[in-house]
Amino acid sequence: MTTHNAQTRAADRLLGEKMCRRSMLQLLACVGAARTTLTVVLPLAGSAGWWAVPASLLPGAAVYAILALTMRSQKAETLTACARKLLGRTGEAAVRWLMTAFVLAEGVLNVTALVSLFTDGIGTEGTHRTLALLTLAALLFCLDRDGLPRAVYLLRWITRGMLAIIAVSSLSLASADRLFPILGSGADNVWTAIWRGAVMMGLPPLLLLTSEPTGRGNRATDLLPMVGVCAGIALVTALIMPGQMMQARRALAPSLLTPVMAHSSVVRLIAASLMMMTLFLSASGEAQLAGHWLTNAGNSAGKWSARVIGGLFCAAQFVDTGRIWSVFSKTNQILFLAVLAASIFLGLAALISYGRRKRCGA
Amino acid sequence: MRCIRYMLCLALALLCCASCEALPGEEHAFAVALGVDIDDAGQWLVCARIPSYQDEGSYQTISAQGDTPATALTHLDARSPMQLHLGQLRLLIFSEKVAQESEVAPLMRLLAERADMRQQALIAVTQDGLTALFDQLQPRTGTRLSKSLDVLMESRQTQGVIPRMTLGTAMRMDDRQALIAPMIFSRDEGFDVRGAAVFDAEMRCTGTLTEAETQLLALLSGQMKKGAISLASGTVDIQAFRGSPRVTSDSIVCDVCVNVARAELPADTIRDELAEAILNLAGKLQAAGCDALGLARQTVYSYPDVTAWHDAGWPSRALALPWRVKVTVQMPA
Repeated sequence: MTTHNAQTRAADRLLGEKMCRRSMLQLLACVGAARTTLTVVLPLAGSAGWWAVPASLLPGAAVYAILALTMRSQKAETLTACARKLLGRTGEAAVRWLMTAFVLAEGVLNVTALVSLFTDGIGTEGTHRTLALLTLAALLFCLDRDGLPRAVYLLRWITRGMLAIIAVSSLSLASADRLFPILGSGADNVWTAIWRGAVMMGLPPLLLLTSEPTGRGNRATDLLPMVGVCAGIALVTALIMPGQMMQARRALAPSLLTPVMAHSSVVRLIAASLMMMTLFLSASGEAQLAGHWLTNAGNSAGKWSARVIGGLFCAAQFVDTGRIWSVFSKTNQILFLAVLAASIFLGLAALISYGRRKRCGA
Repeated sequence: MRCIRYMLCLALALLCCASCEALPGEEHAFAVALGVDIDDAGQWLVCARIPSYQDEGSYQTISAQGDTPATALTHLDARSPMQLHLGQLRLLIFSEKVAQESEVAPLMRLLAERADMRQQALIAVTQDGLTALFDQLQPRTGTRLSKSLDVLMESRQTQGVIPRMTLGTAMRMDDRQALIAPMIFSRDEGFDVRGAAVFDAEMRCTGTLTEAETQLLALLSGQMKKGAISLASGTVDIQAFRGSPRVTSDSIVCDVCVNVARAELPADTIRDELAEAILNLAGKLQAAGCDALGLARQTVYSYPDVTAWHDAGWPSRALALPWRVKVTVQMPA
């Protein structure tokens, strides 16, 4: 029989908080990678998208593995703690700033996608700007320190249920021959898709290394939801859509809804709702994370800075959508290359440190 | 915690009820059928059949013209007594002239891109005047035209006398399969649907199939598994139909096995007449340049990319290969 005292209750509460934070980071990773899958990889790879998307995830997974092993060797629980151990305070600050810049860029991209879904996806009456202001109002209302991760944690079954409905309703439209020819419209397009996808999908998984482990599952299993969501989206889309249709040029909102283009209006509504809900939650989560990392505080200073950042995400919508999309997508690519360099540097530092320890021991 | 979960589930369920409220019935002209025609001067005509909301089961036709299909549709929106909505559309009808003389693909794309378009609307082709046909579109059973059309189409599709072809399916067709759509006719007592219009790779209507040919096509494509079909000398009640055409390097092999439930013909006659009917159908489809069975899609597996597949002569090669048909008939014990 389990006894509940103040100590176990506090431990349970701490574990619960960690699991909520991990759920939120998993959502951020899933949304970032799924957005890239739908807007970058599938329109380039066409019918080869079902394997090009998992292939694009490999470089990110490799960087993730290098950093996770480095963290394990240094007995560090988070990426920033590992950087501090190996490179001192400057290294920690560099990693923190890189990740902050990444979540800021992701936040802007997510709010742009959300507002585009409002205006072009479901045809809400209102301009891009008025809907950006509406999003800001909702964002300010929900940027509570604990509330947001808890909401994400509670909504996980609803999110999975919605994904299951879309997947099941796709079965009747699926045709195996659409997965072939294996290289789709040509090897050049597929390699471009994999390269661009790899650069843009490399950073989202690293967000998972910024939280402490929960003790349930290991670092590798944390990656599974993101890989599953992206591979699932790519497979379902490739099974039901001809390659030419996937490769047709589309605006942002229709390209986000490509997998459900041929579905009934009910399923399209479910997909649009799911997309908008997850985009909103991730944008909020990114504002909160950026606020926390910038101020290095979870108190009211962090909360207010998150609100200011949320305001900046929405203020960015007053600039041309196409320009925002291209600038921040490029920012993400540059940041991934920087993080790749940093991870190699961290790995080398860990090796040197290990060598020194061994020599001292000997 | 459990209470919060129940509340979230309830909130999600309530979300599903929200869309009806947003579209009050009598404030929208929910088109049940939409037709597109072109006259000799090149003017596009678009017709819509909408409920009049005056008497139960009464409908009215609204129409508009324009230099392009998009202009005609815009004019139709403006002519509508209420805001036109295509979310309940059951039939999208092209006149034979439109189907023969212009590519249907851009037209369908134009309609499919409308946010309110119902992707499950069936595509049909008519040889009659569009306005006359639309005036005949009245519910044949019950009071709702949409329900009546659903029931009629479902019944005809089960019999195999019309093909299943929705706007969503047609939009997802690439060059691996050709379009085939039901024919709709105006009658003194209403309207009727039977047979099919066949389209070539450029989505131009190049011929028609009779009811019997459409049934045979439904059997070969797997859309119909059993039922009564007509052959030259009589009718055969099929209990099970197995087998579909297979593309080989030099021919199309059609090896089918038929379990007959009841027949007024001997097994040899059924075998010969069925084989001949399949060969006739194949010849007709090949002459029309229509790969209605999607034979070309069977060949994509062995090519690295679409360019190599095209370079090897597909999908048009599927229309030039000879058919080899073998029919096995199993009579009732």
